[in-house]
Amino acid sequence: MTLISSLSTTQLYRQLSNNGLTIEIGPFSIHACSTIESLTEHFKLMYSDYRVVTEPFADFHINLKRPNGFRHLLYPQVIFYSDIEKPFKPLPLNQTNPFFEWGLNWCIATMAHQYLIIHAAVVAKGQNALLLPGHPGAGKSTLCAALIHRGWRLLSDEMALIDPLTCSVTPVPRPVSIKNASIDVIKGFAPEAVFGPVIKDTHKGTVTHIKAPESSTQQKTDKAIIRWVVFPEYHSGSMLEISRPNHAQVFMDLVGQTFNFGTLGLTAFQTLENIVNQTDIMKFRYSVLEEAIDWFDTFQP
Amino acid sequence: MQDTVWFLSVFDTVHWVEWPDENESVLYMQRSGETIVVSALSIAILELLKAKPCNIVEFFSELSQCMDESVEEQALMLAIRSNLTQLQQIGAIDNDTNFITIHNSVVSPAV
Repeated sequence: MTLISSLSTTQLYRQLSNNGLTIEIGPFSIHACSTIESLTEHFKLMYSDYRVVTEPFADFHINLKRPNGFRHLLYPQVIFYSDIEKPFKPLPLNQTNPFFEWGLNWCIATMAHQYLIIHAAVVAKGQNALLLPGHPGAGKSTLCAALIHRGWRLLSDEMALIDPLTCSVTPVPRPVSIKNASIDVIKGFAPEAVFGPVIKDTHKGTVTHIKAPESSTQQKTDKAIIRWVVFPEYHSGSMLEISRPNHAQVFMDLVGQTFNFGTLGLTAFQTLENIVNQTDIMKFRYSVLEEAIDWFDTFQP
Repeated sequence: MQDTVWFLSVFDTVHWVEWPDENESVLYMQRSGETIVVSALSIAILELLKAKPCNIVEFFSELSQCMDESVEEQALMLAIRSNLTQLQQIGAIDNDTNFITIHNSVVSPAV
């Protein structure tokens, strides 16, 4: 078994820039190819604990390329390819690493329909998963980044992969994306975390990534059962508030956060029914991260 | 309106989920994919239609037995009508007059 960490930077760059490199991320094999040096650094820093796959099959084929032509000399850019498709407009070259992560999110959300995919962070204590769904800015990634440095296991920062008709979540531990003011908050909360470079002026503002803890990547095949669903809402200056919304409201909120509800149809409806009926559901408003994490620490499996 | 007979839609399949002691349920239309929150009264109407088609007098007769005595007859009748309209608009139920109209319009070009 070869881990990324066993490759030198030169070897890694050669593989990525020649035929590409396939790595195992959760249940997926991702074949990545790029001559852009910063992606090598991103892999070396964020994916050092991930296994290199030698089998020829890959679920997703990603290529990050500089565009052709003279314009590139004035405005260096990067294009994301999924197979031969270009689903996005080019981005500035310095956003190559977040572009890889955002593009991979897109690949999973649009193609992995063997799962019900909910836009949510997921962490676990033992085999008990905590689902943190929420719209952008709700604070789910900040909470997720903090919780995984307080002993919770990372299953996903961005999307919950749920086995249909069950409450079982398949882990896909990847770097946690945090942005703007949350970056300094997490640097203060978990100085031991491994941070990637800070990229400014992206469409999400200033972003960076935190490496997934090694213990989480090692448990990549250990599924967890959703036990708690907490809808976080960061609200500056607010006290810690917990409420229990009615089930119909929760159900509709989850429908709104599900990427492939329409694709899975009745299966999606029945899966959400199971989740809503079998888990402890709360809405949660917070402003002070330490207080919030102390509250989550009271959750007992 | 009194004689209009209502039945579950033949064009779509309705699924719903309800919770004890809560006045709201979620309804899902399998073909259209529409998912909405409906009242407990709507679910009661659907439960009756699962057993057999009904007209509004039958709805009233059945549902008034489940209501407490403080609910006025007129208010209940209005609520039933309003819920029937909502369920029809999302394609969960249909009635015989509407069905005949739709059916005729579909077959008329061929005649």
